[in-house]
Amino acid sequence: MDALTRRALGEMPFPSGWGDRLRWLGERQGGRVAAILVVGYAVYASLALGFTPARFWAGLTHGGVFLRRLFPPDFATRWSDIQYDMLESVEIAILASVLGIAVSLPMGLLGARNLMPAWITWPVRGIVSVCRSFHPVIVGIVFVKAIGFGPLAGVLTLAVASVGFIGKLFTEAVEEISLKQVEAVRATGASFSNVLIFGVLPQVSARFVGFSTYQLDSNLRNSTILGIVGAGGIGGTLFAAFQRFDYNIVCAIVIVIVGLIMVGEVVSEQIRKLFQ
Amino acid sequence: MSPVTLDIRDLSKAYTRHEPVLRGVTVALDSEGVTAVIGPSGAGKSTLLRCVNRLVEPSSGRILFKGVDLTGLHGRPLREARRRIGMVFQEFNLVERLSVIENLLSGRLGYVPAWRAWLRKFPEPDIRRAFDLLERLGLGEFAGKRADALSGGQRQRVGIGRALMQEPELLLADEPTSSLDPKTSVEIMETMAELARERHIPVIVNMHDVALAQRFADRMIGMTDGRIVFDGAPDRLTNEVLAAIYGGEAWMR
Amino acid sequence: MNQVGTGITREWRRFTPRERAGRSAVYVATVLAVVVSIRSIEIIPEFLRDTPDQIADLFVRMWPVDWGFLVGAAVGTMIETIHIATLGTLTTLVLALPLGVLAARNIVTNPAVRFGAKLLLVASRSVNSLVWALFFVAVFGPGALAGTVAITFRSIGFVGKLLGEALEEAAPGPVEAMLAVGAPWPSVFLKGYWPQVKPAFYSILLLRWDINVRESSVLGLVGAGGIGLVLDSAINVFQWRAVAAVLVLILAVVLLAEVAVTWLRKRIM
Repeated sequence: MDALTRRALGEMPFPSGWGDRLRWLGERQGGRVAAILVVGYAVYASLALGFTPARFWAGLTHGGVFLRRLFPPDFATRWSDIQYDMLESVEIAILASVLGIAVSLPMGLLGARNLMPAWITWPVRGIVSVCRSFHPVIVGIVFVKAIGFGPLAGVLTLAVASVGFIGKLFTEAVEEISLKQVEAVRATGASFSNVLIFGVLPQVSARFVGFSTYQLDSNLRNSTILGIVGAGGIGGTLFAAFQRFDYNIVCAIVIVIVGLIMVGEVVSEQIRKLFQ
Repeated sequence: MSPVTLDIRDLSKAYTRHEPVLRGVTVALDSEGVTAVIGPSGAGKSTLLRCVNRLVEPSSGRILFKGVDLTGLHGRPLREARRRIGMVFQEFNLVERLSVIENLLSGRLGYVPAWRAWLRKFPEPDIRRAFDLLERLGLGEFAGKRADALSGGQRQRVGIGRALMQEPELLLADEPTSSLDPKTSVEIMETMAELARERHIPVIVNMHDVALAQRFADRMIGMTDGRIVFDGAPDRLTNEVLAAIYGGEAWMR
Repeated sequence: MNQVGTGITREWRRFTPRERAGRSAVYVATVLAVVVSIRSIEIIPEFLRDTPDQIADLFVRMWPVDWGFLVGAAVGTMIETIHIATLGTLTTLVLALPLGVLAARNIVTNPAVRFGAKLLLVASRSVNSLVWALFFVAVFGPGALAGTVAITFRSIGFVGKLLGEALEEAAPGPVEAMLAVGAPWPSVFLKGYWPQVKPAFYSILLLRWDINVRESSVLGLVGAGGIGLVLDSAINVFQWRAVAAVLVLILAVVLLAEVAVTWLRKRIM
C-alpha cells in the first residue's frame, strides 16, 4: 500500500507530534532552527534586562579594580571572628544534617505508595514537596522571623531543606523496589518492622546513603550563606565585610569557605564509600 | 484425634465478579509427602497456594491449618500462622543485596524482634542451624556471598533453606522449578523432597511439568478452571485424565 | 580462616574489621559533633518552646494573602527573574562545555590541563551563587547584570563537572572509528562524542535551569536583580500579606518550571 493510500485511509506511516516534527527536520535543519531561537531569546532577554555593551565594559574595568582590591587576603584582622563563625557554620550543617536525615528516613517510607495507603502518602508527599519548594534562604528568612536571629534558625532551615531533598528521592527509590522480595519476607511471618528492615531497606539503603551524603555536602555549602539573612554562621560576617567594602577580609573569608567546602566534599565522599 | 494438617473447604477467589479463579475448592491434606498440583495456566494453582498463607485474600471459604482457621486471622495471629508455613517461590524472591546467610536467617524473622533484625544479632542456635543447613544444601562456601552472585539453582536452594529455617509444619512451593533448566529442576525437587521428608514436613508443590511432578509426588491434584478435577496417585494419571485437565492431545506424547 | 578438611568458615562477618572500625569512627564522631554543637550553639530553650506559636503567628499575619500586590512590580520582576535564570544558564553552556571537555580523562591526556580545568570547576561550585552575586554587585553595580553573571559563574562548575563525567562515560568505539578514518577534531567530537552525550547534555542543562530559577529568586536580597528585591522590601516593612503573595508567586513559577522541564525532557529524549 503506498503512502498516498495510507494517508487517505487515515493511517500515517509514522507517529506525528511536535517533538517528532522537530526531529524530522533532522540534525540539520532542526538544529539550526533551535539555535536561531536560542540566540534570538538571548538577545531579547539581554535587552529586557537592560544590558548594554557600555555597562558591560564599564563593569569589566571596574572588575579589574575590584580584583586588585581583593588581594592580598586579610586573615589577621578579625581572625577570631572568622574562626568562630566558620565553626558555627559547620555545627549548623552537622546538626541540620543529622536532624534532616533522621526525619527523612521515616518520611520517605511513609510517602511510598507501594507501602502505605493513600491517606498517609498524600499528606506526607505534600509536606515533603513544600519543604523542597522554597530556596533555603527564603526558608531562613521565615525561620528568623519566627524564632529569632541565630544558628537555631539556620539548623531548622537546613533540616527542612534536607527533608525536602532526601525525602522525595528516597520515596522514589522505595517505589522502585521489587515487591517480590518483600512478599517473600512477609510470607515468613515477619512483623511489619522486620519486613521493612529485611525486605525494603536493603534494596534502598545504598541510595539513601548517597542522598544523605550529598545533602550533608549541600548543607555545608548553604550554611555558609544563611548568615546573610541572620541565621547564623559565617554568612553574616561575609555580608558585613562586603558592606564595609573591606574586600581583603572578604577575600580571606571566601578562601576559608572554599577550603572548607572542598574538605567537606572529600569527607562526605569517604563517608559514602564507607556506608554504601 | 489430631487435626488434619490442611483442610480447605469450599475455597473461592474472584478478582472481578465475573471471573472467578477458584470455584469452591475442597481438599484435605493429611499425611507427609509431596502433593503436586498440576494444571494449565490460569487454573488457579498458584492462587490456591497463596490463599493458604494469605498472600492472596480468599473471597470465601475456609482454610483450616491443624484446626486453626487461617481465613479469619489478622495481625499477630496471622503472622504466627505464617511462621509455621514455609514458601518457596518461582523466582526465588531472595533479598538480592543481602548475603546468603542473611537470606537464610530471614526465615527466622517471624521469631525475632526488630532490634535483633536491625543489628543482625540473631540467636546463636539460629545461626548454627543456618550454617548446618547451608552445608546440607551444599552451599557452605557461599555464606558471605551476595545472593545475586549465585546461579538460579543455588538461589533456589537458598530459598528452600529460608523456608526450612522457619521450622515449618507445611511447605508450599509455587512453581519452584519453572525458572530452572531441566537438570537443576530435578536437583531442586530432590533436595526439597528429601529435606522435607527428613523433617516430616508435608509439601504442596505447584508445577506445570507433569513428568517431573509424577516422578516426585506421592499424590497428584489436577486443576482446571478453578476446580479440582483429579486427586489421586501419580500412576493413575492417564492420558484421558490429562486431556481432561489440560484439554487437547497435541501436546502429549 | 578455612579449616582444612571442612573447607568452610562458620564465622559470619558482616563487615570487615576495617569497615567496622571506619563505621564506628563515623558514629562516634557524629555523636561527638552533635553534642559539641548543641552545647556551643546558643539554643535558648524559651525560643525553642515558642516556635510553634511564633510560626502560627506568622501564618496569621500572612492571611488573607494580598494578591493585589502582585499586580504592581511583582509579576514584571518575576519575569526578570526568569530571564536571569535562562540567560545565565545559556551563557553557562558556552563556558562550561570547553571546561568539561578539558576535564575529561579520555579526551585530554595532559594531567596538568585536566587538573587546572577541574580546579576551576570546583572553585566555581564551591562559591554559593549568593556570594557570587555579592561579588558582581560590587563589580557591575546592583541590578540584573550582576545576577545573571553570578548565576553563570555558579553554574559553570555544576554543568562542567557533569558534562565531563558524561564525556568520560562515552564508549570509545565510535570515537576510535572516527580517529581511525583520520577525521579532523571537530568531526570526531560531533560524530563520535556528541551523539552519546546528547541526552545527558540536555538533561544536565534542564536540571541546572530548574535549580537556577530557584536561585535567581533570592539574588535580589543582595541587590542582584529579580524578585528577591521585592521580597526583601516587603519583609523589611513587615507587609506579611504581600510577602505571602510573593512567596506563592515564586512557588507557582518554580512548580511550572519543574513541569516544563519534565515535559521538555520527554520531548527531547
